[in-house]
Amino acid sequence: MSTYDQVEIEDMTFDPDTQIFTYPCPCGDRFQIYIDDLYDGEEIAVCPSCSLMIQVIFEQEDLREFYDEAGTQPPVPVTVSA
Amino acid sequence: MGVDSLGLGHDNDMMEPQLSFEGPNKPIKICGGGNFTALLQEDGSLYLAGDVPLERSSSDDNWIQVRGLFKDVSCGWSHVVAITSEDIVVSGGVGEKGELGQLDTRHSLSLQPIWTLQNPREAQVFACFYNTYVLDDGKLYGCGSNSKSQLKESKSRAICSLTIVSAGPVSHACVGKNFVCFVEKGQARVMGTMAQYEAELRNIMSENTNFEFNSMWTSIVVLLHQKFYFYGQASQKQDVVAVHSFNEPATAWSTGSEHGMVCIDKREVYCWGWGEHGNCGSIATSRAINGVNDKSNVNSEVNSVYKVTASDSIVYACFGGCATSWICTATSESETCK
Repeated sequence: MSTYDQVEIEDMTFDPDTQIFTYPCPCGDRFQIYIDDLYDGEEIAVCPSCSLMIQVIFEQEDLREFYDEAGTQPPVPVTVSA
Repeated sequence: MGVDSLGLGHDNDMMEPQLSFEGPNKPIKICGGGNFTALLQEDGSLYLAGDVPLERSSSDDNWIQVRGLFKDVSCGWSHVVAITSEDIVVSGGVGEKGELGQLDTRHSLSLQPIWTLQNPREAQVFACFYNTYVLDDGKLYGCGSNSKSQLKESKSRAICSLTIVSAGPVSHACVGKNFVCFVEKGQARVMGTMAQYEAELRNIMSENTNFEFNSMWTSIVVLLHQKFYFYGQASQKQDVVAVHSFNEPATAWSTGSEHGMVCIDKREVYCWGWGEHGNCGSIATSRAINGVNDKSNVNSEVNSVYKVTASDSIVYACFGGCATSWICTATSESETCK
């Protein structure tokens, strides 16, 4: 997948109320991605107003401080039994 | 996107030039923030359109005049920096990374003084993204994000007042997302994310003094001897101008967030690069009803977007903003911007 840019998570803005990370897009809107999606391994943030995407550079442990800031916990893995 | 940064009174993206501003005074500079546009006229009057980060004196007009007179202006993601007619550098808007240069102040609804110029004659202001730079008396000062060493070698999240970037003498500068490029003692210098291109830029500039350069968010474009050179990322065809030849001289050119534009022989304007919002014009297969963008020209080749038709009219300037393109035309009686 071709992305417009790579952005380190520390350069993104986190809103603890919406639990969304955002970053300015050259179209004037903002790339966005949910913290839970990052935790689940997704690394592509999309812009709601155009086709550009960025790759978020992060480690899963980087997310801990943001969960703490939001007062929430990472999603619990769903166990599927046979 | 859905904000009236074109100053047209609606939020449609347009892919054919529309008349946005008209008057007896010549616009001399237009620059774009994330969702707004600043327009400076030769008489010093400054206008803003779009999602303006300053207090609006009126909600009715597409373009709002800022109180006072100004000599220069530039825009970051959500802030404005300008030089007043009294030779004071002022800033306003939102500056979470210190780009307002107002110490602890992160939001300023009006333009506030941050610097008194030492040598007003050649002073300039530059802004992009989360940074502000002031070129004054041959020295370059800056504030805002320093996460990529675009202000100082030692990284930091925010520098909240103007600090010396280069003691100079600095003669030219351009600013992109997390980088600054400038000419210091005749040598190119690049700080921040584009520092890797410093050696290449030094090579091309060292033997020449008659060059111009501008920045997109993630690249630097140089015009030298009527040829364009490109340095940086080009995933949206931002570099196609470097392999293009024009038959007539470039008389004006500019860069936007991820596109460029050039006026050839004061008559025809071409755009290239990322044009998803209509900012690189329509192409042969476009179906732009009433000029509204149909997203048919997302990553644009060098594309003709405007040609003067009246014999007494010229294009005297063009400017790129955040996915916006601006063409300034003049006749013997009036000046307009499209």
